[in-house]
Amino acid sequence: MTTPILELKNIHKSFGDNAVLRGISFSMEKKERIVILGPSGSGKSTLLRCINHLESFEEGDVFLRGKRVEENKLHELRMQVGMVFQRFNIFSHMTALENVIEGPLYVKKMNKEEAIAKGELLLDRVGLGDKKHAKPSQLSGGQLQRVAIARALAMDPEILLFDEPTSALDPELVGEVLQVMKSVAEEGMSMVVVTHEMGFAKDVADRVIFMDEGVIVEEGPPDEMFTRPKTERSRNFLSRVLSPMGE
Amino acid sequence: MDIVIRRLPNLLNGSLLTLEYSLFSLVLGLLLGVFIALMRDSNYRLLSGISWFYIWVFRGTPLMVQLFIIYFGLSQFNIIMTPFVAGILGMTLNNGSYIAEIVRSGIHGVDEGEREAARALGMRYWTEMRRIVAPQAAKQCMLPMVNQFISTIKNSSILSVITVAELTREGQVIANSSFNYFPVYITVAALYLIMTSLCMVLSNWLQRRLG
Ligand SMILES: Nc1ncnc2c1ncn2[C@@H]1O[C@H](COP(=O)(O)OP(=O)(O)O)[C@@H](O)[C@H]1O
Ligand SMILES: [Mg+2]
Repeated sequence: MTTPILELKNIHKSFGDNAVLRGISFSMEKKERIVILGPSGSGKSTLLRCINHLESFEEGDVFLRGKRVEENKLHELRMQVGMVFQRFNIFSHMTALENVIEGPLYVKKMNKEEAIAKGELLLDRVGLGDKKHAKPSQLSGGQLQRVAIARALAMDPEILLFDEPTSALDPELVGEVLQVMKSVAEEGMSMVVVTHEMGFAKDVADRVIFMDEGVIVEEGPPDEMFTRPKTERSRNFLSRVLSPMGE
Repeated sequence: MDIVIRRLPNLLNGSLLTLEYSLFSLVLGLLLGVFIALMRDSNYRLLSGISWFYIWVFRGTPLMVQLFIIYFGLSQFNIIMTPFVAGILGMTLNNGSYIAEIVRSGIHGVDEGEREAARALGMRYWTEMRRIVAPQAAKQCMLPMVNQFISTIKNSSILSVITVAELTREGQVIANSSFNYFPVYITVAALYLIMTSLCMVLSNWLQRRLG
């Protein structure tokens, strides 16, 4: 068996006396695409943030390609684990292209011509080649999120984490972002995606993890999870999220 | 009236000195203020505590008393300063405490999500500060800094109590020797008004530029 690209062992995290993660363990193979589902407040965002140590946790370890992540090497971890946020978090004082090349220039110390060439290529790839000099205030939510994906890709990460990347978007803008995410998946990126887009989960995920109250309740391939959920809790949740979409 | 005209060069020199002290202590106060602001927000309790204490003391006591302590008080311990040094030091320390709060609110105004995105890219603290926080915070601080400069110009009149020959002091000397108080002090006031008005013009221009 190959070493998993990412492994979480028994992660515990509390905010005060609110135990948000209560022993999360899973491992992920290279090029695997995992979708995490779960009701709001179940700890999905916190879990993603613990993976790249944006949040500290009391117990447990994160392993990247079999190596435990050390506290003093966090920036090295983060260079390899990209993140896309619900609220885009685009640098508001920079143009689209400047956002994308910021990491390569100031974290990887790439030279400027190379970074710009790479940035332009990536913006093309997310369908924003003509918006490279646009300021964030001139872009729609869907466009901002695509810039954010290009910004994460610019670091050539091993893994990409997505935290509800389409939840803050107007419905008509969701499709363009999902399409970009699918193309990223098709190119072999290892991805962990928190989303309520069941269509995306069915099409793209290799594995679905269902979380509730800080624990993994159930996991499995999407067709199994969606047609024959084993636990009461996942049945309830899935019937709620699947039915309004008429599926 | 001709006393004013005759001594106008002295008053203009005083004005120049007022501007000089104000500008110096604003620039030094900015350096100090940034430092204190970063300390205040640091995770180290001790640094944060020192910074809190400094801000508390210097914002909570009158500038005049601060100057008395620095200029007269310290001389008892053989720490003797020229009025210039004591004046710049006092005004810088005083400015620093106010500017620290300006800088802090500028920093806090930067979207936490953007800072998190910077960290998620692998940026280190100082890179994040320089590339993401500073440019946005600086814009936020511009107007409050001009207002701080206006306050500084007015407060610098207190330097007269430690014999710095700034505008107010020059006015006092001329008025006391001529017993012609009214025209002299009106002229002093007018000169302050010109200086502060110029700053307000700058402030309005900035306000329009920054939207
Ligand atoms: N910074 C924080 N401070 C305190 N509580 C938090 C913080 N972030 C999240 N929480 C709490 O942790 C729980 C899980 O939140 P989150 O991970 O955002 O859930 P999800 O993403 O599944 O909706 C919630 O009860 C939330 O209130
Ligand atoms: Mg969430």
